Amino acid sequence: MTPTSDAPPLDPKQPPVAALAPVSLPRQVVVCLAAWLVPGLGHGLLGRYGRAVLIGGSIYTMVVLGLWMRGHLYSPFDLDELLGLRDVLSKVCLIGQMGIGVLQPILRGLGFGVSFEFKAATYEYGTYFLVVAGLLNYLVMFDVFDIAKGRKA
Amino acid sequence: MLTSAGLETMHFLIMTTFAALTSTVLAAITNEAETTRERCLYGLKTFGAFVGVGLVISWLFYFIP
Repeated sequence: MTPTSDAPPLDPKQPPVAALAPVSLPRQVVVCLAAWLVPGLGHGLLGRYGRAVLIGGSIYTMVVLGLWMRGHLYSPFDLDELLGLRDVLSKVCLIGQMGIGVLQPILRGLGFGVSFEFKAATYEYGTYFLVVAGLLNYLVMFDVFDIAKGRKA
Repeated sequence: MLTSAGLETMHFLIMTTFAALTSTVLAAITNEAETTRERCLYGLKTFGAFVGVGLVISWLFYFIP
């Protein structure tokens, strides 16, 4: 007779239990902040070095290509009213680009992406490369949070 | 220096680059794959979907004056 148990059957496809171990709450906050400020760093701090390199490399490549195509980096100081509905598309782009993290204000400070290059054929492409790079990093932050909570390997 | 005129003919290359970089990140963070092989397949599928949908939409736009 087969012995019965309440434990789920062993599945070779399931990750080992140790890989799903959650980290402490302060460390969860730190890795999520790190993932926002420096794309890829959150995964690196959690020991997922391969994913960290892929994510960081892809997002930084998008930022470099966005600037190379004369994209614009938005700044909250350029907007007339920060909380109103006026110029709402610029605010949406700003929120997206803020996902890039600490690199966004640094690049602005260094003078990259400050001017509006409307006449450049690739201006829109460049700007949206920068926006999507930030939006992807928001998704990466959710992934880091899931790993830190122990929901994901 | 990158010239605007030179890049006007490179829309497809820019779209492909965008698709490749975005699918790489999406494959790295997806919940639908666990092994490296599954992640690679997911990334290739996402890349194909980006490029395929882009081509279909651009083909439809061709007929809009």
